[in-house]
This record gives sequence, C-alpha cells and structure tokens, in this order.
Amino acid sequence: MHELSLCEALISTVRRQLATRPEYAGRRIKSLKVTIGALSGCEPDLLARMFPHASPGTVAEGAELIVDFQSARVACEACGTERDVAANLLVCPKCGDQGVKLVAGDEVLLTGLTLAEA
Amino acid sequence: MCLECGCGLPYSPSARQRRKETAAPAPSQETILAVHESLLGANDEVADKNREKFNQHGILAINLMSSPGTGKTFLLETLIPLLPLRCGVVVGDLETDNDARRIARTGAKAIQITTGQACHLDASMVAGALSQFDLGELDVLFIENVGNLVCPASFDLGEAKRIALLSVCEGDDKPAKYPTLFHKADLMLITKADLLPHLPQFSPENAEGYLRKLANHSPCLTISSLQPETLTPLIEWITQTHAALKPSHQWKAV
Ligand SMILES: Nc1nc2c(ncn2[C@@H]2O[C@H](COP(=O)(O)OP(=O)(O)OP(=O)(O)O)[C@@H](O)[C@H]2O)c(=O)[nH]1
Ligand SMILES: [Mg+2]
Ligand SMILES: [Zn+2]
Ligand SMILES: [Zn+2]
Repeated sequence: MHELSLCEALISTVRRQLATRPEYAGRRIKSLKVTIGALSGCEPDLLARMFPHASPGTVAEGAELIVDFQSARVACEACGTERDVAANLLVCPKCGDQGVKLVAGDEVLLTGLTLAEA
Repeated sequence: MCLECGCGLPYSPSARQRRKETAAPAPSQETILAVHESLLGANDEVADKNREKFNQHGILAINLMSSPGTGKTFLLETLIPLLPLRCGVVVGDLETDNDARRIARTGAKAIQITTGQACHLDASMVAGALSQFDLGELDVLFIENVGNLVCPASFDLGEAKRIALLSVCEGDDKPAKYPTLFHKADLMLITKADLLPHLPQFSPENAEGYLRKLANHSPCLTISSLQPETLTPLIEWITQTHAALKPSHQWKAV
C-alpha cells in the first residue's frame, strides 16, 4: 500500500501549486480535491483515511480531502462510442472491439484547492 | 481542449495567462483554484530521465511484474544464459539480496534494491541502481519488481516494455482481478507450465481471454523455466524488440 506516500506526494503538489501563486500566500487551505481513477492503483477510501495522518504540520493541515472517483472510460476507434466501463472489461461496450483508447480512469490528480477567507 | 495535456480542462496556456492577469480576489472571501496536476508527476519526471538514459545507450529496459513467487528470478536465471544479448538486472525485494545473488551466478551484473516497507520500485530507486552499471556494456536491463500485483503498476520506471507474469498455480482470472497491472502489459507470460498436468483447472486460453477483455492485444506466451525449449518464443520477442528498439511504452501525459 502506498497511499501514505501518495498523501505525501499530494501535499508536495499542493505546496508547488501555491508557490506559483504568491498572491495567495498565507491563506489557509480549506479543502483539496483529487480525482482517483479506477485503474490508478490507488484506493480512494484508503487515501481519504490516510490523509488526516499525513497533513498535520504541513500546508494542508486541517484541510478536508474531497475524493472524486473516476471510472474507466474508453473511446472506441471502430464505432466512435465513448462510455464508462468496468475496470476489467475495457473492450468497446457497444461493438466489442479491442481497438479502444482509455480516455480516463488511470489518473491520480490534484484538481482543486479551496482557500479559506483571510 | 487544453493544449498541454488533452484533458479538456481549462488549464491551457491562455487560461493560465488569464489567471495571472486577474488580481487576487478580496481576501474576505473563499477562493477556489482549479488545478490539474498528477500526484505521480515527481516520479514520472525521474522515469523520463531514466528512459532518456536507456535510449542514449540503446538499452531495452523491461519491467517484470507479478505476485510473489511467480518465478521472475528463476526465469531470469534460466533465460539470461540463453540470450544473445548483454544483460543486467535490477531486482527489488522488501528484504534480502538472495535474488541478486541467484542472478549473479549467470554472470550478469545484478543490483539488489531492498525496499524495506515500500511495496514497489519507483523511478528514483532505479535511477540510484543505474549509477552502479556501466550502461555502455548493456543491451537489456531487466527490472524485477517487488512481488505484488497492485502497487508496481502505478509507477513508471522509465522502461520500454512491461511484462506481466502469472503462474499456473495462481488461477487464470488474475488479469480480471488486477486489471491495473495487466491492461498495460506489453507481454503476458504464463509461467510454470510444467505443472499444468497437475492443475487441470487452469486454462491458458481463459487467462488470455481475460487479457483480451482488457482490450490488450499484446502477445501471451506459456513457458516453463524448467523446460528451456519453451523459452524460444520469449527469446525471439526480446531479441526482436531490442533490434527494433522504438521505446513504445507511452505513458498518458497528464
Ligand atoms: N515447477 C516450476 N517451479 C518454478 C518455475 N519457476 C519458478 N519456480 C519455483 O517457484 C519458486 C519461486 O520462484 P522465484 O523465481 O523465486 O519467484 P519470484 O517471482 O522471483 O518471487 P519473488 O521475488 O519473491 O516475488 C521457486 O521455488 C522456483 O524454483 C517453473 O517454471 N516451474
Ligand atoms: Mg524474485
Ligand atoms: Zn504500494
Ligand atoms: Zn465500438
């Protein structure tokens, strides 16, 4: 399980993002939003449970972690269908073709930060 | 559509420019910032540097992933003496350097990474091991990952190819249970085929069928490290891949 190290990666990503926005220096982070894909190898519940243990003493101290789950989503090159599918059934749900592109579902992303009023 | 990563999010250079121009809002209100950054970005940067090094030296780097005991080390012990290429090995385990010592007996240089608590290799562990090789002397670098079907799949090491192994003792539905690892495999190996007569419940066809359901058309080979003749198609795959050496493991840009 590497959810704890992902929490640490999340916190350094936040730190990096804030460093590029000096105009918000000193504002407390109220919440963080992440997107976890079904094929990312990261367990959303575990990440949410680990976060309160990883955040104290960091920029993210006291912040709420909001986890959005993203299903595996494929686009079929044969028939053009784009749809969410089960993580272990990635062929085209319409025509059954294997020529699909995974358009979402393997990501572990920081997608948003909410800063508290100063 | 965002030009940087194709994600469709409002994070294009022009959007970023707009964000810079707007002054910070009155500090009395809550501020919501849209971001789009992978948490694996730091690992991926190091992986790209590893990949660049492999490319520079014409090295085919292969990441071997499976559950514990599938036969990764025994395969390398049998395969390396049969390969007409200069091989090196990086091997990760939670504890002990047993595997590196076993592989070193083939004459190939083997570096053990003892990961302690970490359940997978990451790109910087591999980068550290690379400094111990003379890369000009290598054609193929095998990276034997920690035995684990979950975590290794998420970490790009800079490899050109990923091999997922599955032994006939494990059940043929592993690709359905661990799609994260199997859907990105460039080759699936069904190992310990010499035991098939004792395991009629394992069907190599079913295992391959589950791989196909992951929309993965990579080849699937059935081998036994106790029967070196079964390794011939694998040897061909490696030599041909090395000869072509167009690193094709394209990680989705985020
Ligand atoms: N019968 C048979 N046994 C095998 C074969 N390959 C490996 N084994 C045995 O399976 C056991 C585990 O093999 P290893 O090569 O150590 O497996 P591994 O995947 O490297 O294991 P970890 O590094 O612990 O993840 C050993 O006792 C091997 O001798 C095979 O093709 N046939
Ligand atoms: Mg081993
Ligand atoms: Zn892990
Ligand atoms: Zn289709």
